Amino acid sequence: MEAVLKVLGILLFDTYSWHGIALAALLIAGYWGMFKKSGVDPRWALVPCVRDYMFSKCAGREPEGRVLFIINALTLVMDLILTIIEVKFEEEQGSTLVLALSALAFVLLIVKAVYHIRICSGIVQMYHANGWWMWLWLFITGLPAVIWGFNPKYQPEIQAEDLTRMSLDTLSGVSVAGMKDGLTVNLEERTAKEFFQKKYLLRDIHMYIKPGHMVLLLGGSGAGKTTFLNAVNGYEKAKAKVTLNGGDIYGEYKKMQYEIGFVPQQELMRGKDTVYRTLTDASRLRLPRDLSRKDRRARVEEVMRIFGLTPVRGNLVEKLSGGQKKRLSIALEFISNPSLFILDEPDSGLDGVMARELMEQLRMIADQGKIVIVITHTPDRVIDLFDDVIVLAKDSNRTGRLAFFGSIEEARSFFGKQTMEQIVMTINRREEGGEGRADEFITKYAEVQHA
Amino acid sequence: MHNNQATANKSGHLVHIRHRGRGPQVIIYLGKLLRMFLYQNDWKVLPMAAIIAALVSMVIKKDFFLTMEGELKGSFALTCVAIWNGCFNSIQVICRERSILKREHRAGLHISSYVASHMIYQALLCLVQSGITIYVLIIMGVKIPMDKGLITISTAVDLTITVFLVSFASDMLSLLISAIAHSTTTAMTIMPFVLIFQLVFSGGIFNLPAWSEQISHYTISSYGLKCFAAQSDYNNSPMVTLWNTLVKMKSSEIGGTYTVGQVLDLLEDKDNGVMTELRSREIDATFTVGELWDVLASSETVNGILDRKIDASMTVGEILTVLRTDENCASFRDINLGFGTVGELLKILDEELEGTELKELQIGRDFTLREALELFKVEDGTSKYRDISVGRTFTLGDLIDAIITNPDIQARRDQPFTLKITVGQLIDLIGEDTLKEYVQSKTAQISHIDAYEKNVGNVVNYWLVFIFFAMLYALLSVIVLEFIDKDRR
Repeated sequence: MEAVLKVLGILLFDTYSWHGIALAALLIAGYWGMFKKSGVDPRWALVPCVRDYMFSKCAGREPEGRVLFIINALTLVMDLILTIIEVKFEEEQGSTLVLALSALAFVLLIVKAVYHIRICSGIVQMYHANGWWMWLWLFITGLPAVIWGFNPKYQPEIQAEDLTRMSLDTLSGVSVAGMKDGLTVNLEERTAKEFFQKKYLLRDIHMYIKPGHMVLLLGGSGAGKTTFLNAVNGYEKAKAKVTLNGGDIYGEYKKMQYEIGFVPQQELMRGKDTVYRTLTDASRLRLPRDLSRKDRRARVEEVMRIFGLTPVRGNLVEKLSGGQKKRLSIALEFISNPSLFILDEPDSGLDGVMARELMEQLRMIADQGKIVIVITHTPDRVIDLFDDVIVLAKDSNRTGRLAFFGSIEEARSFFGKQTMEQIVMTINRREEGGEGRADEFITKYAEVQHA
Repeated sequence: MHNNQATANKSGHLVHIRHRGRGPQVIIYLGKLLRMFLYQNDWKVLPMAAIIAALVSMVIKKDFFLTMEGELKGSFALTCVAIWNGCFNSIQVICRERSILKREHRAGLHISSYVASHMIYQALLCLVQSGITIYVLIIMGVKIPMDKGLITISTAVDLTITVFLVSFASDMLSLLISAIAHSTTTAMTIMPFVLIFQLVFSGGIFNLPAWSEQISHYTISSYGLKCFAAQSDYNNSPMVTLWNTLVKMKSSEIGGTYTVGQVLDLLEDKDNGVMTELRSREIDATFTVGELWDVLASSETVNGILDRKIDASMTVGEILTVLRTDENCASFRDINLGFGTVGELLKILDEELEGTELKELQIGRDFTLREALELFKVEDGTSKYRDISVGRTFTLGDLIDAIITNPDIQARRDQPFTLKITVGQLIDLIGEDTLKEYVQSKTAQISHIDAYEKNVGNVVNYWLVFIFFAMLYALLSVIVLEFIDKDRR
């Protein structure tokens, strides 16, 4: 009977001492009120482990809440085992198993304390409360929980549910027909599972890009630009059909991956290797194996000449200037002469002149019949070089959506703005300093496509 | 300029152009790693290995390959050196270029080729480090035998192979950690735990509780220690700790109040190795008739009966018979000479003189025993008998048994006596060489471990285990890295 009571106490309140249960009851009551205020089902307050996770969501600290959930679950299991041993197997109390579990419980307690502090700091920020509340939250969590839960004076800044709502329902419902040449993208959705929840990262993106076009990819922070590019190049697959020059990128990825050059934002090269060796290795990796050594070397020389790297061919990569590193990074992908060339902020860290030079080189590549897609945060100084623009925006549910795809002039007309930076400001959320009109343009573009 | 790699043919299907496969990619990355060795200062691990070996040799050179304790200490130290070298060779190699690897994987790099190139490169590095380590140990004076090895041409080569395999297995373990960790900070945080785990659960230095002994079967260090101990012939080396402790205690005084019974029990103890050895020692107790007479003449007890008249008609043999059988002479016969009683000596003398002229010699007049003794001592006519050799050789065990069975001594079992003796005196009493040999061999016998037995089977088994560990970790590295595209950006 004693064992059953103790186990029940642990299962419901994480403890079986009377004063512990009283404190837990206070906490549950407080959570009940706070969950209601944050739009979370208050009944979660009754469920051990989960109530702390839900509380973390109310505090805007969901990632920490996940870790805390796992730690709480482990602690619960260990508490149960130790309680059963304590009640049922007295002789086992000093055993190695008990000692090991106790040591592990202590380690978990330390981790739990750290994450508890993080979440409490989050809840204090979320309620715009004074810093001293933090101490109450840390040591007598139940008390501030009850005060904040039932006093109308204390209100959270954001509803917890806002953080995980489903995507905006307005969809274009239009697919683009696959073309023999160029890039066709029909992306239904790109989702990710996080802590048993399905999250929509991208949804309803359809477009066709002609060969020889240089395309600007615009979007605010977190709009899913890099996710979109990774979905297009097949590295992170989405529920989509993407074809390049008639070839299915997802279906024939192993064959098609050499058709796509992806230049990441950072210069991901080994600093202690020379420019020539870096390019030579890239050529051996990316070029067909039946290409003669003479032709391969000629290609390396040609690429070095195109990107102005010949004078520094013997230098270590780490000794190059920022612009040279960017050019080398692009040259690594260009060496295989891909049909689709994707660049993630190639001009970051470069001054205006160097950025312009780089973009002109990309224009030159596009003029060779390639498709070049570029993400840049300073588009207006080089906007004349681009043919089209893709505008991605976070809808009200934080899913990346297509707000526009078309020529630069059409974009200006569609958004009623003259510069690309103004367009970005229009679709950015208000808390990011924007106009918060993303949903409006997403819906408008979907309707345009549908029409 | 070449054409694109995958192009559509007339029917619209893609024509696949083949790129370099796994083998050639290994060559490409091996070249890259060798350049990194020069430019990225990876070469520094070589002098580092020499420094570590030199430091360790200062500690182990005194008794490695000489004593059991030295073998264990040296084996543990060598295992630590090998694991340390291996772990630090590769702990950062993947995580520091994880983003680069991800990019190259996206460009067509096979993960298996990447790991294989690291395996080859790290194997070369470990091999050179192992050679350096053994070379430094030799020049620093560690007494590595230069004889033919158990498996190869030399023990030093055998040891180099073991150091290499332990290093390589550890290297691959670190490679796995480097593949799992997403940053160098994470890898370097995990590293100490792995090292501590390996060293604590090696099972040689620390006494592990029974439940944790199973864990040691999954550590490289455990097999490393066993392999080095087997190669250094641990089981056939002397164990010196106890003897050295005794020598250090030579001036320490031991003793106390004991009873005669305690001493007798000690002498009787058949299971006591020292006593068994002592009992088997032979004592030469042969003597001449002259020597016997001299002893008798100088004995105070004999002097008590010296003036007893002896019948002139008696021969020497008859006198002996009287001395052996007469009740009045019983206490005389019971005199213990240390190697036997007078009675036993008289019996031996009687038997030895049997058939000799001396036994039939008529004394000729009434005289006392004193006069008889004097006669044998001084008269020329009797001097020829003085040189007759009598007696026998017996063991110390016989003597001990005589003491133990003596009823007088047994009657005094409860009699206390105070003993004061130093350990050194005790050692001298037993015999330093005897005791040293006994103590060292006995403790070595107790410390015998089958897993440390020097034989080809053991060593080859351990080598195979290292290779298995290395391959397993490399395979796991490949599996882990195959998920690199799932990394969060």
